[in-house]
Amino acid sequence: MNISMHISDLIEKRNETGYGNESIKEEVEARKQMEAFIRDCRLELPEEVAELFESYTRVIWQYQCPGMIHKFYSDETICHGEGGKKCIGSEAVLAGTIAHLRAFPDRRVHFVDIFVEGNEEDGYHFGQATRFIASNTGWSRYGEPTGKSLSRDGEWCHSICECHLKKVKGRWRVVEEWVVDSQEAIIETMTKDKEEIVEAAADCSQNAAEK
Amino acid sequence: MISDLYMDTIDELMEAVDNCKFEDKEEVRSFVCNLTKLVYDYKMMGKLYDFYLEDVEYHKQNRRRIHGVVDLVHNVLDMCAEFPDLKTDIENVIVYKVDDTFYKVFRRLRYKGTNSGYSKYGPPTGKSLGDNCLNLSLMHLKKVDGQWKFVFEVNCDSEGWIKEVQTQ
Repeated sequence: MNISMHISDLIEKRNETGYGNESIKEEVEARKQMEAFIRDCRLELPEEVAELFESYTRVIWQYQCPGMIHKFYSDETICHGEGGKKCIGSEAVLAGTIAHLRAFPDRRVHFVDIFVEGNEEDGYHFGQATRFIASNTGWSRYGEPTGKSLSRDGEWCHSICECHLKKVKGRWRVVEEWVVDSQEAIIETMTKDKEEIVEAAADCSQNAAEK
Repeated sequence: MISDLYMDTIDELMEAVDNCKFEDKEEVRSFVCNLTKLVYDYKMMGKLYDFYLEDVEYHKQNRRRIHGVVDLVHNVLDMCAEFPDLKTDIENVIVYKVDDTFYKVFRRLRYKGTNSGYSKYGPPTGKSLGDNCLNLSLMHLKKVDGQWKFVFEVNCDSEGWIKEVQTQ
């Protein structure tokens, strides 16, 4: 319970103080505390599970340790996305996460809410909504970094997901997940504007002509 | 007659949502399912005025915001006009009781329907949403001045898929 309360304070402070304001030392310290909490959590109460997955999400997405995906995602985890998309297994989830982190390496997560229903015997269902700020400063399948920000005109990109958590062969696993996030905004952020593409093409032509 | 069947169901759902006491999680779960069906399946979108705060904080995907309950009703009208046979397949509802005046609710559903009405993308395509139109939403339901109202919601659609279905 003491660990749980301390993590809550950390998370609240993080939400209040904003993003990217901590030194690397502070970030490492915060991450280590969350890792300890994740390791020691017994998942005995819904409130504990909520704090656990808030910490878990931050360690993966904000503190850039996507390998932690394997802690709760197994070879058989099914992830449903929008438009009928589906992927199975922690490796697939990991690959997608790394690709996204590479494109948006400065990503900061702000939790809108997370809450849980269930118990130790039957497992837990939880729903969470997050909003994130990030800039496309890394390469992606859509090309070179655009420098564009995901949040625009004071509006955020939201991501919302539901997870079903169960004990499988003695280990807690996310057996199924459903995610809908701001895919269109994410793709648009990673894609150069048509005008920029036309301008870049014109510059190339001019340079070639001058040579 | 089908119209009689529809109206009988509407009457049942209206009675259920109007008489809900919100005393426990199971009641709230039923309320959310009943209201969803009433609004989307049975096209009673005016009921949203009963249960959403006038200036509800409502976030959609892709940086979109809905500004208050009036805007929300218009949004639902758009969807129902574009997919006149729209039905909701509610897969799961999670309810968390914060206290006697506050519940948090998470709903997972799939929209099912055919684009047989005009949309901003053009004339009807006749294409179906199939089983791919996942919608997830997270809601805060609070007792405000003695009445239960949704005061906050994050609601995300499979916007890309909806656009694809509405585009020739």
